[in-house]
Amino acid sequence: MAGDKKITVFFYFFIILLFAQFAYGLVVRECYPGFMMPGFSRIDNNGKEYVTYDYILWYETEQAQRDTINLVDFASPLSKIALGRAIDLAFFPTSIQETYNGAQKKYYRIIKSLIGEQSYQRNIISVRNPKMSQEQIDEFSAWVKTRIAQQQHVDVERVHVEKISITRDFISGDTLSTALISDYDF
Amino acid sequence: MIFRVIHSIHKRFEHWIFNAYSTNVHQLGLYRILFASAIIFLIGIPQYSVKIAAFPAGLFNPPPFFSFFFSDIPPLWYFQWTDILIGIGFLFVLLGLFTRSAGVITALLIIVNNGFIFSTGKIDHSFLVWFTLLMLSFSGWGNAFSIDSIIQKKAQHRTKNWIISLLSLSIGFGFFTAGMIKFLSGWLSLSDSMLRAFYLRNFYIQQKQDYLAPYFENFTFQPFWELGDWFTIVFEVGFLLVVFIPALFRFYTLLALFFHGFVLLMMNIGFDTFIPMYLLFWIPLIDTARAQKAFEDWTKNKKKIIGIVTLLVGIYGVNWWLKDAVSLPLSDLLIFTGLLGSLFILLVRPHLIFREASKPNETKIIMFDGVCNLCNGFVQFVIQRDKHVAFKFKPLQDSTSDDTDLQSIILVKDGENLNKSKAFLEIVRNLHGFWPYLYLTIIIPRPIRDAVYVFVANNRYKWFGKQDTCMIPTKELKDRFL
Repeated sequence: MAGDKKITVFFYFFIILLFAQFAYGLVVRECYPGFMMPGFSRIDNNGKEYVTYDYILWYETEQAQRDTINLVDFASPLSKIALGRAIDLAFFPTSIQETYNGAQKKYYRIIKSLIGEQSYQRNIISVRNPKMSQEQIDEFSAWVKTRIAQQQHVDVERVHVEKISITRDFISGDTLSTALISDYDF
Repeated sequence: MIFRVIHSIHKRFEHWIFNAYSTNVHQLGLYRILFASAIIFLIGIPQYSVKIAAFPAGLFNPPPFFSFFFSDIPPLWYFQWTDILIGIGFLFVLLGLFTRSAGVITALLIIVNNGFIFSTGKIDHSFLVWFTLLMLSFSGWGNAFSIDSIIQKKAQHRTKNWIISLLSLSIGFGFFTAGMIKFLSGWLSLSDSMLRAFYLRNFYIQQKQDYLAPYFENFTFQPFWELGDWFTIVFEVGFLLVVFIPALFRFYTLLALFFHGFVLLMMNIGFDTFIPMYLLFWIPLIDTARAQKAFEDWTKNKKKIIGIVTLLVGIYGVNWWLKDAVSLPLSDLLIFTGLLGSLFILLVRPHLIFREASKPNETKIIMFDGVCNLCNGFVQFVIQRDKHVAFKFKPLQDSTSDDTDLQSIILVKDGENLNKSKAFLEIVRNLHGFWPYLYLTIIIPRPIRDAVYVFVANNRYKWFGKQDTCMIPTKELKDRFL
């Protein structure tokens, strides 16, 4: 019976833990190991058109040959989402926050007003989107070049990455416009 | 007053922890074999060395908590060795050899290695599956249908059913978080459809264009997509509410199978690892008597034991070799089987969802007002749909002469007398046909359900009439009446 009591107490703590990690995941960043499932928060749209974000990766060979890379194949066996996150952290750190959806922007405004700008940057943003050192960025850039060279069997001279926003028709899916958010050369 | 309410909730919670999912070692042993087989032969044992070879250099960005323990990615040889250990671990879990240690080590290695893979910043949420493996290693699932059970001198029959309650809570909460994130970000807005937006993003940006995905590109019937938004949120948030009612939780696992199947067809996202996890909540309904008998017969002969173990190891080896040599979408096949299976049970065999685990020699007695036409009609209705002959009947007039005691049917079960809506729902959940779906109304608070019951009961003579004497059963039905 004493064992049963301990287990019951454990269940109460477990429930508190579940809610605590959920709250932390919502506000700051999802923990691992953790008990959250894929949320898929809002993609901003007005029911007629919607905006998504994508990356274009160009490479140039020593022979001045230029081509784009299919990022799904490039990332495999990891996912393109994981690669996109890596590209964002390395090359476009400032644009990550700009591309938050409307609901996230609203909640972050409230949190910022409650805890102050400094605390918001230190305790939330730097945990959610940690700043990479120049050394890490160089290492990642070299990895991208090497991987392109291995996959495409070419000597890569230069790589150009673009982060773009694509506005599409909500019904037909047709592309209405694209806009460059930021780019990076290495 | 408030302390009494808190105490009552605590007592019910405690009862749920230890009794909601009553299983025996044989059911758990069978589940262990199904779980390990699904991972080994259909889903595939995780291969971290392959993934880590594609991991972006310089990008160790671990999620909080994991980052407390690790500061960099280990070398490739670490993943190559742990891949081998994980493979052996699953084989041991399948055979039931050093089951607890094998399960714990395998689960911990997977959980840690996943943490490294998720250090790009994207978590793929398979944690719950490996948490299931970790926790069930302590449940006693190695005490039956296993080499351990043959080796151990004294049979171990104790199971820790609270672990299954814990896992149901984890799954329910996991889905709840997914639903809440959608709800908080405005998925229920009627002016747009998030499901469509996600489908389009997946189709164009992630290039997920297999199975039925191309057919949805031009499918612009707005109510379909809006319904999808609402169904997703009601389903995901509701998962936490049904955790405390095992039959409804089982119903939700079927909805989950349907949901995952549909997501794979439309968005090409495979939640394959979740499928064996749902099976856990159906095992209390499985009768393992025949499997027990067969296992006992096999284990009497040492040669047979060696033969079966050799055969299993051989199949495992061939599967290991075939996985590399032939690429078959077996994990997708598992999801489609789940989709078809869930549709079959939901539409053709709904009585399987809500029924209770059978207990040997248990008799359920329905006591009813013998002169009431409505009650007699209900008894006939139950007899026609009680294919397992689970119920016996007895007029209330045999036990009481007080009219107020005739106001509700009484179900005598497990030595307990249930009345009003509770008795009604406990009866219909065990019938054949679509009637068990009425059990879904158990989610309505009991005072409301009982008020409806009492209203009908008070008017039963006026609306349906009454007899002067109690009903007399026909010859064929005589043995059903006490």
